[in-house]
Amino acid sequence: MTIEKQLEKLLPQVSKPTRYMGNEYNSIKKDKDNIKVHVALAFPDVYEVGMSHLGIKILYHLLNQYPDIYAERVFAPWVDFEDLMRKEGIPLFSLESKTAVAEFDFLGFTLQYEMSYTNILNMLELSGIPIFSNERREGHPFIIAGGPCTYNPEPLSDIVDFFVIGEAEEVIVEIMDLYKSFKERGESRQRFLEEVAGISGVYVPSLYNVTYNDDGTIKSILPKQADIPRRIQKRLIKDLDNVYYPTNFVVPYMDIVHDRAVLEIFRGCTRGCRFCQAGMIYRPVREKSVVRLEKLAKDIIASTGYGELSLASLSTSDYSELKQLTEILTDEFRQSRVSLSLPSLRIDAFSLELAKKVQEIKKSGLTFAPEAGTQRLRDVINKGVTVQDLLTSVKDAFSSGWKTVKLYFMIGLPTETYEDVEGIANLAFAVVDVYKKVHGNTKGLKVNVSTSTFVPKPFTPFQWESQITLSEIEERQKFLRSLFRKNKNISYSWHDGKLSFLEAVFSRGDRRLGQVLKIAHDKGCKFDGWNDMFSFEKWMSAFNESGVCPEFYAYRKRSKDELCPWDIIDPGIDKKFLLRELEKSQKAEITPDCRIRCHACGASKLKAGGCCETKNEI
Amino acid sequence: MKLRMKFKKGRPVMFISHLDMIRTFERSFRRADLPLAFTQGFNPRPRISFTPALSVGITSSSEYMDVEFEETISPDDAVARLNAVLPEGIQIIKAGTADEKIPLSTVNCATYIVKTALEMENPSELEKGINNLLNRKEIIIEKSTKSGVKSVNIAPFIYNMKLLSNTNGTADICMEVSIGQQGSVSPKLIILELEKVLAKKLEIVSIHREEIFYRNENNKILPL
Repeated sequence: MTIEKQLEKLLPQVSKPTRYMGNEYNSIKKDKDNIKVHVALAFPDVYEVGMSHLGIKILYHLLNQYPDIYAERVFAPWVDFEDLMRKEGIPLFSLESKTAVAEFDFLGFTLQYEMSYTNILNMLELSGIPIFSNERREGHPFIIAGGPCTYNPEPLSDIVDFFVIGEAEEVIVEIMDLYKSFKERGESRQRFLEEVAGISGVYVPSLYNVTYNDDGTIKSILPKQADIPRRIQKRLIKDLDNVYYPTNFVVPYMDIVHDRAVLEIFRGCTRGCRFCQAGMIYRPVREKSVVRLEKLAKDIIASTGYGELSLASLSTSDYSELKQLTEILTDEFRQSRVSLSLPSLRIDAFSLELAKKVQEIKKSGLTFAPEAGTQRLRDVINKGVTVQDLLTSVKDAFSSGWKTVKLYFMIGLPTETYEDVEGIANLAFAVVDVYKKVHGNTKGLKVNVSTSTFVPKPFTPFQWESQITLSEIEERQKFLRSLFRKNKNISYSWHDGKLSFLEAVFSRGDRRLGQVLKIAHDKGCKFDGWNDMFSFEKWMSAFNESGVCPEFYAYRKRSKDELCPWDIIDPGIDKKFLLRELEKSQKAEITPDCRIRCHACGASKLKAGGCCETKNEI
Repeated sequence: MKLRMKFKKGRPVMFISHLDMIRTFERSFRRADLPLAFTQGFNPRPRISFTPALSVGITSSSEYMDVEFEETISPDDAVARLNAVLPEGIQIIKAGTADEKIPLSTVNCATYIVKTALEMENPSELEKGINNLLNRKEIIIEKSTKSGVKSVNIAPFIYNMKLLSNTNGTADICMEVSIGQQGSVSPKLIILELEKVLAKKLEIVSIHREEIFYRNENNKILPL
């Protein structure tokens, strides 16, 4: 029986069968017998999460532009369907042609967050593909990975055949071209890996040896052969304005997490927040032109029929022609009732004005991200927001009718004291007071405070810092709970400290974690990012059994000359810059926005975006 | 102006929900560049109303919607433009003005064709079972509601049932049942009862909604 036939019988028994159905409008059908390369693009989470991710959509449509390449989508089945699949012997399959994943040439994963790693192992197992790369043989698909987590690829080095570092639009086509010729030549799997390692931006971990010092730190990561690069430079799209961008997005039937058309307006960020990995690795800033965006927006809406268009970037307010762009788009779509949404707005008077115009009467909550509770700590992390900024914006928002605000903070930032933690509460109370001043009472007001725990990330100035311990996390959360208990307008939520601890382990982990992942997977860890699925006990016993100490990765303050697992990657920014930023953070000194002055982060050598052209380097 | 449209929901989309269907139509109208009318207020919604929701997993060749447009549109033009941009499995069969038609909310009857797989030495046994069920005054089932389990008599909701074909181990059973506010019963439940009568397992292969309409003692009125 074909998978398609089996599905008709099984899908009535599962929750949300639409997840596995495919066949959405704009999904691409090709005859798989008439192609040269068959690529499965996998997102290691359920459909509604994976379908909300822009990167995989760009690659899907980009690859399918080529008649001899067929890219299909694959998502992690939810546990109810997984049980049925295992029981009925159905392998993991692609959404479009319902082909078993093991039959593809490539299986590519996007790595968006560390806690999805166990799902990758589970998906390989469901596909019948060996979990470790050294167990794969001729005929198995190549397991490849891209996305932000590949900036430290090492925890998955024993699992993934090769990583694509950086922006994939160009390099993925080069890889496909190489593969076509490799297939024609009929050469070995090993030979392909050696050849693909020659493409800039590709990292083939099996071609490198890692040695360790007695204290467990890394002594060396060196290529096994002379012609393999010692360091992998990230790939970067120099001309973002002219790079391929799809307009014929697949339109899901079911309600997905971000159910709207997405228009990417720029990449990179000039703010330089010291905890933020995205702000570092995606440098330099490159914008798309208003002309191009207007054309794309019209085409996307015409092709998808979406009623909402979201402008995507790391910091929407920083787009240099945001006012002009939003005016053009609101005019364009007034008739067809397409609303604009502007996420990642930095809330100031200008943005609020925009938000008012764009949302007109639809007053959903406003999100503010002061990140830290005191000015001192905000200076440490280089988050250039003052209490005055926040309270002025909040006052404006309340006067214009907003009643719900969300305040987002981190706990456990470097140098944080209880005074800073208390500052979080004080800021929330100040927001309540502003509302009282505006309206005379607190009727209808909702202040949602949420905290996550700081996770030190590779290629940030804080990459050498330690995470606070799990008991410290829980103490600080408890302290905040006690402070907020009295206030009925404030609700406080927090990110599970145990998850943050594991994120800290994997974000700066090394190859030895591959074994831990395997054991955790064998114990049944999957969907770790889902509260009801996460089992910290299983994880801890996996660490125990493997003899790998998680605290070594999460709690250890690194010395400045330590060789980090991710030093094999060159993201285009210099270590010297990161160290300068670290030192400044220790003195609570801020670094202004790159648009004001260049801080010589090193990204200028990438020769893109022109962010450093007119300014002198310091 | 208001148009009434009859559409089908085929196998490729059999698992999408009623809400998914509404979303799909809203987007399809925009793709077709047809000027939908929207409600006023904080959260404008397109002015589209549908016949009672079809259960997930059931196909249909008889779904209806009333759609309001801001401009005058010819029914044929609307059908052509919409069909060009609808996903595989959804298709507009016909359209016409909604004026002087029965309101969609009055639709109270549906015919379903249920394909079942069964092993039956004597085919007439199935026919007997169907008639037996049809002639009963009372078929009490337990229905779980928000306020607990309730006993319901579904016999008045079954208007007609007959065996259409019975070959090669599959039987097509046609049933005419009540739908909508005054009471409804799902074809699945009827098959469960039929299993009890026959003391045999009937595996449902597929359920298809053939037609929905307004029915009283003397009349059967189609919405379009």
